Amino acid sequence: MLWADAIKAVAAQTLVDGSDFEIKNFAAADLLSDILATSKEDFVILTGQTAPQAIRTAFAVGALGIIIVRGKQVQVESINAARGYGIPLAVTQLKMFEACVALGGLLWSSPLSKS
Amino acid sequence: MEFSFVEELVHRLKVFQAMAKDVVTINPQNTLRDAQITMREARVSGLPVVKENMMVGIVTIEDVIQALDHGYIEEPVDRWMTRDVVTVESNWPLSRAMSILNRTRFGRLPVLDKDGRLCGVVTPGSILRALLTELNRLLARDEKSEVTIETLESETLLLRFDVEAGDFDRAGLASVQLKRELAARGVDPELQRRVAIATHESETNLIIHSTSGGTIIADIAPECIRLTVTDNGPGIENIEQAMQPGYSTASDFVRSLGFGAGMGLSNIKRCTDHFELKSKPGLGTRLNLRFNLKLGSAAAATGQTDKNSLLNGGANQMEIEG
Repeated sequence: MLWADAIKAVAAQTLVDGSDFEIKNFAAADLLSDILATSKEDFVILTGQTAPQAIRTAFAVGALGIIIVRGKQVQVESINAARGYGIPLAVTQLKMFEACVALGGLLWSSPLSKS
Repeated sequence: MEFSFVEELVHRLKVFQAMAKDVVTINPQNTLRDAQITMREARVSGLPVVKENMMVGIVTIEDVIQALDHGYIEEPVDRWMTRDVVTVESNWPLSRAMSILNRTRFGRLPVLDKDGRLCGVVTPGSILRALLTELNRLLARDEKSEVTIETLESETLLLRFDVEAGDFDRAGLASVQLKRELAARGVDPELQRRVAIATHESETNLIIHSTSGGTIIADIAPECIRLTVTDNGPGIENIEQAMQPGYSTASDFVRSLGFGAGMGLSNIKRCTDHFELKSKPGLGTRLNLRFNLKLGSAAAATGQTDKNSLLNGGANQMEIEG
């Protein structure tokens, strides 16, 4: 699945843009500790955390992008941090579960992205 | 959940950091007259009553006034003291002591250590002093001193990160800077990630648990990367328990920020090629981590134990070769 497809699937608003890339997996968690413990690769983070710490966590684990759920207001510092680290950032109005359902359906129906 | 700066501060500070340590006490056999004189001389309004090192009650200025009014000022403290004393524990968050003071309208709360012994008294005055001291310290903090980069030899790089206790705003910054440095030196991305995660978890541990912050030193050499994480307390009582995934002593406040899930130490171990944890309650904790740059290289054999550890005999210890 491409980042552009993911954004479209959850009707997300882009806050930090980047060139398109292939997503093989998602890590969905509100706890930064859980995100730090993932061993997934080529993945995008779905989270309700909007502080700059969440962006730094994404950088540490090498996430390809971040989608903020529940339409949360994202702090300017976080947007700047994402831009600085080169991590695309978007926000969707969908709840975590709804976003997971939308993206999971798309991910597992794509023959390229079986994982 | 939104917290104001001062609310964060009183969640982060522990009772022992805001208590008066030189406690004036009285013996139960002394008279209320003695209590009156002691209070006047020490300029305090209440005295814990102590017998054989254990607190058995408390006597306050109100008790003395009642005694003067009703003519029993020469009777022993033992007879009129309050026996059912509300106390707090030294390692509780200060916020908890403050809410008890607020609710009960008491002027002071005796503080007990983990063995139940009296180790201080917390009052509105001592809390105010602690808050002002902490605010001054935070204001004086030198923002620029957080990272020092030292190039010792052409191939070795030392980075030092000073991490403040309770400084959640900067959680992950050391990890970001170290990862960028590794990327600039062309280190394998998978290794970059492991080092970045271990650094992030170590930073978070120092922020959440350390009494007065700590230091992360990254030693980047051609054959391996070493991380040394040290702090001066409080130390870990039970390392085996602390290593268990999900075991956490973090407060609800810390969890509301997305930290403190109890995955830190086990996650650090997962990321390293060599993991060594030494800790002594009351003294501090030291983590020695090694990441091999080339899998199966000779570097794996050089896992000597750090001899200059600040924590010697009797320390809790766990060493794992990954």
